[in-house]
Amino acid sequence: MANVDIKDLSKHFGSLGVFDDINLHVDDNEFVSILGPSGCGKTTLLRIVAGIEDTTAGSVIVAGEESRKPRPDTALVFQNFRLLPWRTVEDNVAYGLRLRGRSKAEARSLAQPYVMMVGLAGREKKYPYQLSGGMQQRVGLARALAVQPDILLMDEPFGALDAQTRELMQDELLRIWSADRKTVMFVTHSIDEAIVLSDRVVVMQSDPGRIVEHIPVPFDRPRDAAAMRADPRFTTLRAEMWALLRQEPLSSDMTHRATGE
Amino acid sequence: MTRVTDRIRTPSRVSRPGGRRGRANQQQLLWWSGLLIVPVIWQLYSMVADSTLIVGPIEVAEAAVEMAVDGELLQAAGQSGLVFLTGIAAGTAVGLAIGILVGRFRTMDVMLDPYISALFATPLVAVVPILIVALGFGFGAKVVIVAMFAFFPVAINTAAGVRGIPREFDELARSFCSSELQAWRDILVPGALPYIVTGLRLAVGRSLIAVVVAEFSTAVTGLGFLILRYSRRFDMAESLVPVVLLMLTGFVFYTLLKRVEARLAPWILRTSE
Ligand SMILES: Nc1ncnc2c1ncn2[C@@H]1O[C@H](COP(=O)(O)OP(=O)(O)OP(=O)(O)O)[C@@H](O)[C@H]1O
Ligand SMILES: [Mg+2]
Repeated sequence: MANVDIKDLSKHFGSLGVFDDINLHVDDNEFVSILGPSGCGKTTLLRIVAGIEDTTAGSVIVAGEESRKPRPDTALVFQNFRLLPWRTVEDNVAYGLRLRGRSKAEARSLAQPYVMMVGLAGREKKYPYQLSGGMQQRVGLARALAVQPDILLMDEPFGALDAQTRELMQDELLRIWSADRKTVMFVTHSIDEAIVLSDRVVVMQSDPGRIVEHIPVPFDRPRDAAAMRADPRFTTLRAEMWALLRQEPLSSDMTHRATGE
Repeated sequence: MTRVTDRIRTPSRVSRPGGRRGRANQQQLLWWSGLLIVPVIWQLYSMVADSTLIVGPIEVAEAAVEMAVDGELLQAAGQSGLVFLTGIAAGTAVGLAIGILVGRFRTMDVMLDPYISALFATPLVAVVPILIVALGFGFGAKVVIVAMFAFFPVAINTAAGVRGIPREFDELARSFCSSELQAWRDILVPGALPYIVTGLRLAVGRSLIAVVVAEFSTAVTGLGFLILRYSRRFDMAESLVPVVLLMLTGFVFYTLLKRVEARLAPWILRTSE
């Protein structure tokens, strides 16, 4: 069971408290988006779940085990890509596979479908410096997908993409996820993106960082992003999240609807 | 260096079609005339000097052919070459390992830094007699001397290269459950590669010095032996042949490594474009 259970989690950097007593449960094969203003601790939260950041207090239980270090069944997509400048696209995508014991040739051929998936076919032999920021970001995504993790942690994976590519990648991610369900924690700034992709949206506020609302997204899958955007429920959800992000109190009507489904 | 100059001049090249080739030719011409000017002056001087002790490049070349036909040059070069290659390989291997450790782990850096700094600044020739007492006069002693000369530039440059690798990549490796040795292979060595090659280039020059030092001060063999034997007999042309051979070796290795560097690290040269 690839679920994530965050209990009373606190994180401080010296005197700076990022968040206190965060509680969040992500079910097996659930797609959860984390939406929140800049600096509320989304990246920090994801890094803790990934096992590359210490906790100050509380616990993170991943697939039934206390998580203190990175796990092979978890993959993190970094906010700032982190491609190895000395590796070509295909070898960057193959990075995790190599670490899991594949030979260079094997890893490359296993990586190939993921290079295609993110629309970089024909650019396998390019180095990161030869790619645009958006392309680099897609390489980072492919690298994480290629190891076929049970738990995928994505930190604004589409943040550097233009609006069109972003929507294409959202569709692609929906497709990948429907074909091969995983547990996903997806950090984003974009309300639309959070609604289109997730089963549930977790809204955070800052100063101090905290979770203010869990909003289920009541759309059936498989989803059609364009149809969703035209749906009145979409508009309502959107308005609700906007209000939360602006740290405005919710009307009782909206709260009711959000928790109703 | 030439690469950098080329790049800076690109605009003027664009405005004059055909200028690129012209400039490249001009540079080649300069390179060749620079190369030839010294032997030509040397030859002229030896002809004017009128002394058996001052020989010109032509006489040296003749002596080289004679010694090559005789077989002694090849044999000596073989002996020296073996010492050189074994020594530089050993020195580079140890230098890489220590360099990575020092660059990666602060404790290692703090503990080893005094030794590395002190020994790097020490004229290593001063240590040679002591090494001979400990290791004898044989092949092993020679290899150790060469390795010691090769070690420092490789270790120091590798450490600098590893220190310069952003911490971020360390996190990336950890998040993918990389082992320490895998991180050396995937991140530290390739990330520090340009520095390592520079270290290796410096090591080539120092190792050639070390080969001759070793051959002079232990059991006399190889090119060092030829130099000593012929210069004692005042056969100046013959004694200069091994010297020229050493120069050529250094030049060839140096140039090759420069090429290798550009090829191995394309992202370094081109990121600024
Ligand atoms: N290594 C660190 N040392 C000190 N403070 C840090 C460190 N990492 C993050 N912080 C602080 O923690 C807070 C939360 O940072 P975090 O990167 O998690 O925010 P975020 O929600 O991901 O923001 P964004 O949407 O801009 O990416 C910020 O105030 C940041 O300055
Ligand atoms: Mg962030």
